[in-house]
Amino acid sequence: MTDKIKQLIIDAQNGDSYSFHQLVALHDEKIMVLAYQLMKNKQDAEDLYQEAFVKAYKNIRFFRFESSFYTWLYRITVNTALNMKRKMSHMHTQEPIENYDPIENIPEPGSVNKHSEINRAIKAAADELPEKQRTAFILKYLQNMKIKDISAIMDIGEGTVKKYLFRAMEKMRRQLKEYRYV
Amino acid sequence: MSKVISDQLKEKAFEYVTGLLSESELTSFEGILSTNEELKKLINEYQSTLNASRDAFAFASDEKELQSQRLLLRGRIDQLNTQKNEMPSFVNILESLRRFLTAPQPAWAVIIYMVIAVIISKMIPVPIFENAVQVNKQSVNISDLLQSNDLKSIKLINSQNKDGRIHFAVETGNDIDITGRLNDENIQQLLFYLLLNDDNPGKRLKAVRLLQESAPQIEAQAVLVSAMLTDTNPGVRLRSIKILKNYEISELIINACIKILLEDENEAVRQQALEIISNHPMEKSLPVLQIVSVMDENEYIKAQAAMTLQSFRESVDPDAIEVK
Repeated sequence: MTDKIKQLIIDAQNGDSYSFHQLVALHDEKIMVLAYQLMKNKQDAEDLYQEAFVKAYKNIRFFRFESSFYTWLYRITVNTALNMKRKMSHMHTQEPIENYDPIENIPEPGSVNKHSEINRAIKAAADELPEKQRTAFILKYLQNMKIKDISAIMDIGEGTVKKYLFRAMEKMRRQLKEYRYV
Repeated sequence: MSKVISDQLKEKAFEYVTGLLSESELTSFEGILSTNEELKKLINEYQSTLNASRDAFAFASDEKELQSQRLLLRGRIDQLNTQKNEMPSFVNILESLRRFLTAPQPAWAVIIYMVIAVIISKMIPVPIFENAVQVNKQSVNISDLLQSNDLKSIKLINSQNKDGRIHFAVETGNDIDITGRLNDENIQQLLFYLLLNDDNPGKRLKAVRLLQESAPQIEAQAVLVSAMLTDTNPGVRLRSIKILKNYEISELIINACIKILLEDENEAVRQQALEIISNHPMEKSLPVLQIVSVMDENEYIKAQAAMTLQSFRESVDPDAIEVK
């Protein structure tokens, strides 16, 4: 963490919202990417971005410099995403465009761009993972985080993170193998 | 003959691909790998899965979009700071409508307002009960219901269940359930009603999000313009103006955007209005852009307005600026 960021955090902790907005501008690109990966569409990702930063603002006084600011923001984002998804599943909200049924969507030869078809199959496979496995998978392989950091973000042991990752990887591989994409 | 790979070896293969093996484990694993074709195949499959996943989830955030989110966030945090926390929002809506109606308005704004009122009034009384919509008790005319005084509340039970239907519980003298698809007229009426009248900003946001998924149509356009001009919640205003970007941009929308650009207190909403104006050059926008490029509180909006102004002026052909 650079001195500049430390100072901005301290200022934000003392109630300077301008410093907080500077922190946002320095970190939000990655948070938006993470939000997009955690949620199923851009609209939900934008909602997650907003909720996560509002929570960060409300709680910044509790940041104790024991982890990097990114890890702390990621933790808030991941927890907020899990809460939002819980609420959504309670409400049965499904964005129709994201529904993907591999049976219904088998492409006719040459009719569909194969690349986008693979992408949809991957997303569908990832969507079928249990939420924590999916989150660990995203943090490790899409966000390139260390197991130690994932463990801190998800508040679980490093062994559990590895177990989630292995299970997620195996399920993804098997499912994609069925579609002959791997 | 293919060998079966044990779970333990699979786990090692996963750790190998993930980079979790220690140096000694790596050496011993690579020894096994060099002689085991099945294991090589598995490693390839893991690797392909990862590569395909990285491609599928690749997302580059757009700087403009980020800026819009930052502005919206700034608005929310300012709101938190000033702790202007809500008197009952119903009163808020009436109050803001009252302020909006009594504030001195330029002639074009009054005309917009009248057009919106006419369109909405035409929309509401149409008899609209359709088979596609299920009402659990006796047939109910939604328009009558919405206009009746005994309407207590509308609850959105299910914003889209698996078969794409939306479920409302409407509390009146007799409680009724209404289910239908997003494009059903009754459902749209309820969504319009929620967006324009409900005192709960969460419900209004939900309504506007659902409208985002429905096909663009003239009635929705009028409701969205009305919401973006009058809603007290910046999130609702922002969502409304974003949806309107998908519509064919009419003079009505441009006029509303001009008003927003000059008057809306939320920077994200103003930025979206500016974006619409920038993409649809009209002569009437020039003086507004001039004002905004000098007077807006937000440096980013000021700069964007100046750039737009410049690009309008540099338009090769002055006729390229649409005059209506």
